[in-house]
Amino acid sequence: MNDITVALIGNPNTGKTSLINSLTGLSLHVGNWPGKTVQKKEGSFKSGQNLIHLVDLPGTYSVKPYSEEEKVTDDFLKYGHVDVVIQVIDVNVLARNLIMTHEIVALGKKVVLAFNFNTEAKKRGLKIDLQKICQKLSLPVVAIEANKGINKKKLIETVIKVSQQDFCRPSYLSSLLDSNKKNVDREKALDFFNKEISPFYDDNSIWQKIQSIDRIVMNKFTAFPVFLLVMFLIFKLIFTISNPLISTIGLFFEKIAAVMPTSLPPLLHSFITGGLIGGIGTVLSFAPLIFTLFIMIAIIEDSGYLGRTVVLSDRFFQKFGISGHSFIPMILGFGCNVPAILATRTIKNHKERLIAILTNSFISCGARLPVYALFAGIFFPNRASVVIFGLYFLGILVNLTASAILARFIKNNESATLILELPPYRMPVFSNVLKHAWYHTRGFIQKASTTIFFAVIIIWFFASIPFGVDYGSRLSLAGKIGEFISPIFQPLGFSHWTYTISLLFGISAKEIIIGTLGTLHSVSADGLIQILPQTISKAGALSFLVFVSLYTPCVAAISVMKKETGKWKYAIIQPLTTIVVAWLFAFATYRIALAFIP
Amino acid sequence: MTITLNKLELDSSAIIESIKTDQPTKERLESLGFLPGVRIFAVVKTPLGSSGVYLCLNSMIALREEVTALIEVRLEANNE
Repeated sequence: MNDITVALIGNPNTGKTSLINSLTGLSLHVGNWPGKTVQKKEGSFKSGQNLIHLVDLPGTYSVKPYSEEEKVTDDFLKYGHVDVVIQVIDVNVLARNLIMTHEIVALGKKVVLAFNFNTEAKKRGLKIDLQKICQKLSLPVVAIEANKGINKKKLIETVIKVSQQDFCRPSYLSSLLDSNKKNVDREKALDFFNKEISPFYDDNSIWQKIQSIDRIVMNKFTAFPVFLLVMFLIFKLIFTISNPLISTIGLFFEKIAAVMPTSLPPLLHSFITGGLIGGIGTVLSFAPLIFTLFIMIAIIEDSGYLGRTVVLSDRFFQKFGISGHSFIPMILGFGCNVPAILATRTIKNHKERLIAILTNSFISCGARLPVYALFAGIFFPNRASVVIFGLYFLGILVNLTASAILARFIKNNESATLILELPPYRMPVFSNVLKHAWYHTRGFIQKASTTIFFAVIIIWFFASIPFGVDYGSRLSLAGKIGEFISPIFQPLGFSHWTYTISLLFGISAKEIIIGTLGTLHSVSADGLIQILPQTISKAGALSFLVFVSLYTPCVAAISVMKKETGKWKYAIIQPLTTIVVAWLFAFATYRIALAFIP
Repeated sequence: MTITLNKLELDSSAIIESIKTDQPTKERLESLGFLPGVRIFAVVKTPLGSSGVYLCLNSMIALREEVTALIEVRLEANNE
């Protein structure tokens, strides 16, 4: 078996991830915004007698790195073992892409060019003579359609063939180098394109087609109303679609609990109704919410709108000492803080990146949404969406305020500006959106069967010992721990031990908050509707939600924070600070709420 | 006539003459196709007026005014 290592390189949004998915059968998420791939990702497959290792590298505009994620590509090209480079090229932007081709060849790498988005380009009126371009460049060129897998076999055959040949430096290359004869002179490279390639690349009609959507989406009068409308629609759709499904699943678990024979040994009965149905059932019933949330996030990403929001938010964010670059991690944080913290790698300025990492957990992640949905549904049934929207808004407000404060304290002299390519608008591919949403929902379900399952066993055990006490009573170990810490929460209006212990367990994963309440009360989400109002007032419930929305990130987010900052101090100080912030905001909320609601 | 890019009116085009930013920014702009002789088109001015979106070598690039004020462009005959 012949091992061939192939690196996929290209500008952002050229279809590298689609290509690796189509070649390897992986389901890596494909996005439509610069910086979607921030880590190198790998996959292998067999082709005849060859085992091909594919490495998907973060998108870059040059072999000289500009930001953190581009350094990954640079390091891999310079120090990693690469047999062949596939440069994936958006054929609509050929002139610019070919400058990087010369840079890669100048590094002594064997290159195969994969021209992507041919169908889209032809529709827009591009006329291209592939064979002639291939001859002029003295490099193999394959026209592909990455998202449909068109010509992938031909591409791999070409890669295998090239891997068996010696590196051959095109004769024109030396005339494109700068005076040091080391680096490619971009002006000379563009001249080369204009003289040699452009006679076979007629893009006049593309030049005329400026994207008219941007005239509305980014217009100074309509941009913000459009943005608010998009956010409102997303929010509305998430709840309209998922609410009936959540109730159905909740009722299903209630029915199972109801048919559990009472003749079972009491310990087993309490484990099934409390631990399994109450804990895991409550969490699982919110799977539709997670699914619709990620469908919406995927649509925003894939359509190309996400890139626009960076530019739109830039001026506003500058008032807080950050830039529009911080907006993408914020939006991704609504899904999960872990990928959001990874996405900060696209922020070039180190100070801004650190601020974005440290403040991201104030953005309400998907795991907190079930807690909001449950409590807002019980205590504010007519105003549930206002309450939830308010919690999201509070998260953004605290995030921006914390950013502004940190920006004053963290010293750094790096200059930072916003230079961003806006991807073309593309209709999101339905299967791609579903795949993305399912990937996260599967993760949520898997978590219910692993992390949450173990947490629920511990909670159930704590609620059962010492043996002989009533299950889930304040005399149990869980009750004692909860009561021990409850004085801290007394001023916040939720001192009942079940809430305080659920917050404690919630540090491992936020879904566990409702899982704990379900386990302790031996009911699923629907059953909690009757029980919770007996132990907490409306004002207390609101204060509890505010605390949940702001307090410490989960263990996974803390560990990725440590990894990305490289320092333990941030992973310790950040969660502690957020607890204090959450306490203060919950206290203020409780005091204000008491004046208006019982 | 030579002006700075931030002064280029919407829906008009110009040819890039020189870039006077710091070196890393210049490198980034060049890798995005902002090279002398390239024709550039002003597509959008964002709300609050701090940034503009420009069409350059068939791709849309958003830049802040602090950068576009350092890019010199030559107006094309039909714009003058």
